[in-house]
Amino acid sequence: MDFVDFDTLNLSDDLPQPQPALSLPIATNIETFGRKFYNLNSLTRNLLKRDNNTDTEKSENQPQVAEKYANLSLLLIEDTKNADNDHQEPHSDIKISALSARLSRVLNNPLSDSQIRQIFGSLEDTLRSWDSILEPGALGSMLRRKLRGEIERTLIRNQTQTLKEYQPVIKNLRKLEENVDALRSASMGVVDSVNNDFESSEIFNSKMENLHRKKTAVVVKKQLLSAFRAKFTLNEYEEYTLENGDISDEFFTVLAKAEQVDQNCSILLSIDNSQLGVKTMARVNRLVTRASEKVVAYANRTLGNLYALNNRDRVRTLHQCFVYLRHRPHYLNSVLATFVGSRSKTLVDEFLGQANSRVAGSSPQSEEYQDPVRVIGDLLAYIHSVVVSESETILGIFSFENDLVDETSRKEFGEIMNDCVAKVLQSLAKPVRAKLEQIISREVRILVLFSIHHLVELYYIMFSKQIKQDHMGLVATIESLVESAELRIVTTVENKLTTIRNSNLAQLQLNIDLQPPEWIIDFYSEILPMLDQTHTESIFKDNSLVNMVVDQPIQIYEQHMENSQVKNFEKRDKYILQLNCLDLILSKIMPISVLTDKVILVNEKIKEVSDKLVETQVSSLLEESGLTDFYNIANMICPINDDFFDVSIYEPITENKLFTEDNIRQVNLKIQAFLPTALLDIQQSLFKINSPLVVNEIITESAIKYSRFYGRFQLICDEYLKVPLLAWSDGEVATLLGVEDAYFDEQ
Amino acid sequence: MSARDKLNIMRKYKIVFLGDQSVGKTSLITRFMYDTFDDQYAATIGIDFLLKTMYLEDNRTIRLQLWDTAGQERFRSLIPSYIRDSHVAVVCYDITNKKSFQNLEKWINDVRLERGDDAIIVLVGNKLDLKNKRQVTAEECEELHKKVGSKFYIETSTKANHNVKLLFKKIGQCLPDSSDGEGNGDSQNAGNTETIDITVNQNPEGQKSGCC
Ligand SMILES: Nc1nc2c(ncn2[C@@H]2O[C@H](COP(=O)(O)OP(=O)(O)OP(=O)(O)O)[C@@H](O)[C@H]2O)c(=O)[nH]1
Ligand SMILES: [Mg+2]
Repeated sequence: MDFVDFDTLNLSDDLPQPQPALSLPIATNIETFGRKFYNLNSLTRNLLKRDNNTDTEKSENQPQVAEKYANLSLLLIEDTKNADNDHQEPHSDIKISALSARLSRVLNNPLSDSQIRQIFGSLEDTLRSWDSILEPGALGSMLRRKLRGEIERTLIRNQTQTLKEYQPVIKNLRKLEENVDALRSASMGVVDSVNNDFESSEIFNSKMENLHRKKTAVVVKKQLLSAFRAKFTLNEYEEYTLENGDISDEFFTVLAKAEQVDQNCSILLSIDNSQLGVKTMARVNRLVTRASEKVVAYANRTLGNLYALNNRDRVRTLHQCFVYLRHRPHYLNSVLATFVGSRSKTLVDEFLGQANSRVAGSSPQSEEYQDPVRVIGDLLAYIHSVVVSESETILGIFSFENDLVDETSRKEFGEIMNDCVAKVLQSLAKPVRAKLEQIISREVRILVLFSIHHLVELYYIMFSKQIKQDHMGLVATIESLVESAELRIVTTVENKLTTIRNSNLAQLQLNIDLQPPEWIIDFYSEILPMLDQTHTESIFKDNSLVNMVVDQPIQIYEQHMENSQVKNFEKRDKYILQLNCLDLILSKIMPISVLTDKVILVNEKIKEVSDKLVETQVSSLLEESGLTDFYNIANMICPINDDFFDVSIYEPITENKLFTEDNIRQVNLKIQAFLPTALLDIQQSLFKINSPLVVNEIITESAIKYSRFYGRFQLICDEYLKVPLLAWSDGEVATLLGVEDAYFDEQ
Repeated sequence: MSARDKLNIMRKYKIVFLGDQSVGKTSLITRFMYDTFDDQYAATIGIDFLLKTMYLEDNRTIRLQLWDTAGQERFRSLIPSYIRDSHVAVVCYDITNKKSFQNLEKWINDVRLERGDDAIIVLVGNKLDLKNKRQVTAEECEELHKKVGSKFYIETSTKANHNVKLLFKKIGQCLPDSSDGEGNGDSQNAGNTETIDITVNQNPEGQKSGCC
């Protein structure tokens, strides 16, 4: 039997096909049954007919065959009768055909030969004589009737006997009929119930289909919801992890998911009802924010306790925090700012602790006062060490394991790290500057200041080499300390000079000895050793110190000369004093390499003063020899000391009333008297000049100048007065003045 | 603090390298750090520093801060401040340079002045590859070693990479287990592990030299 597979029914499927016809095995059973009961064919046929309505008229064939045989038998009988008795000829064909019809009816039934014999045997027994039977009349008809009755009786008896045989069969058949009926009604029932079933299954199917549809809808819904849950929600455990869990790998995985959800939500916002998206987003956002805050807190906590950074797991987690926070710059910045702030505070506190214990008192007993260079050195070494340790610590904080970050992030974090180091170290800048400047500003000893300067300069070199990123931090601070020290040196020196400038005592050191004042010696003996030690030129960048060290003392003694008794001294003595001072300064600064420029300058100054002194000497020689007027007159006509000289130019001298033979004669006498001792006098007047070199120079130069004028004036006199009035030649004059060699050399 | 944490904590030690100019202080450090050697002499300017993590045989990991000082005279004033917070002073001379050996006493004196007996002093005679130019015998060095009470002495050649590793290994073994006064554990001020006490009046940290 085919069953309808409802399970396979699909919503889209059509309704189930009508049930195929039931093929019960009844028909076949009935046929075999019929074969067993040969004569029951018609019954079975009838039964079947009820179902099929197919009628067969097959039995029509058999009578024709029987009729044929009957006709043949009648013809046979006819022949024998014809041979004996022709009177029977009037027997009409109608009779024959009626008989044949009867015969055929008899013969129609297919009877076996033995049966037929039996039938005919019993018929012969009954029919004792044809003649009486064939007799017309009442007897014959009575006999015939009797025969007939006899046959019928026999027949009935036979039939009854036969029928009796059938009785049990019929009985059985009856029973069978009941069964068949029952079967039929059962079959009807089955059909009915099948029909019923069919109907109910149709209802069921439609119900089923509905349900199926519903189910599909539910499945879709469920899938949607679970997809939603997967995409847009966190499960309770995950929420718990985010809210209360430890910061761990899992935490970050969940956090990443939450972030993903948050991102996904933007899709929800674009649907018609954005409410869902807004709500989900708000919820996830809240979680993410709280988690981020947790991460921040964790990072802050870890960074706040550097001891924790010795724990590798913790550092790894911290790195994960960093990696996570990288995409949330404001969080990361706040973490870094907190870190930088706390580190800065720690370092500054520590530094101040160190510094204050060293830079406490300003009493002359305090260590700072005793050895400020050492204090500064220690503090800077401390800073150096802090720089190293801090850089290392922060480097450790930002040394990511390879699996955590890619190359770009690594680079980015490298920059962040450098920035952190710079910022932390930068925080030290101010206190360092304040403390060290405090020490520097208190110091008055130039020697100490120089050492400090030297020291901070070394640190500047070192720090600028080792601190890559400074942003106006430590390196700049040290640089400013170098400047402070320089400035302090300059001001201290300046103060010293100002004190000297205003000191009466210093002023009084200038006296008729014409010796340079003591203070110059003192000043240089303090300053110069330090200048000598200075390796770098930096301190002389703006030349202020150099200028001061050389220019100011010169100014001071000049000023002192103006203001003291010296102003009443003779010109020559003033020059001599100046020369002595300059000479002293020169001798002091000459060995100092940084002062080379100044040596030239002082030399020039010496030359200047000694030139003036030469002038003074020349004029006093002229004065002594009474030549001053003539010297002036000649110079008025044309500068007589020029290299170019021609007597003819001086012709106008003849017009001067002083230019007379008498006057010249007088002059000659004066010269004769004065010149032989002149050299001694000159030497006498210049003996206070400390430098014999300068003395020599002045004597030589003035003598040469005098001799040259003498010689030229002699030529003028010879030319215009026509008498040789001046007895000595210029060479002789030069010889008398002790400069003949030099004079002739110059000629 | 768990035992594991304790293992995790790296002790930091400061080692200062002292000695005359060009005896090979920088070369020693360079050999140790990078296993290279340079014939070219480049005088150290001021004080250089380098960091190295060292794994000791007893599974300890220590962090060494190597302070490389300049031998040149003009940088002398810097050095005492660096000696004062060092755990170890490696005092170097050049075995081919008698003068550099004679100056050891001065260097050692500097260390004693700053650290008293608290610092570990190590004598290193470098340039052992130039044996034929030797001016200082190992015996002389041993004598000095006994005299000044240094931890040990060793002759090295950075050029031939001889004994350099051994030198640092021996230094590592000498280091006290904890650098006292530093890293007193789980206090909030754990960041202070790096504090260097530069106050003079206060008692210098009582360092115990518990090995070698
Ligand atoms: N032959 C030889 N040469 C060495 C050895 N160690 C160092 N040198 C050389 O010695 C010179 C000085 O070495 P550095 O390490 O720079 O000396 P330093 O002590 O650091 O010098 P400063 O920094 O000026 O104090 C360099 O030219 C080195 O190549 C060694 O073991 N053998
Ligand atoms: Mg060096």
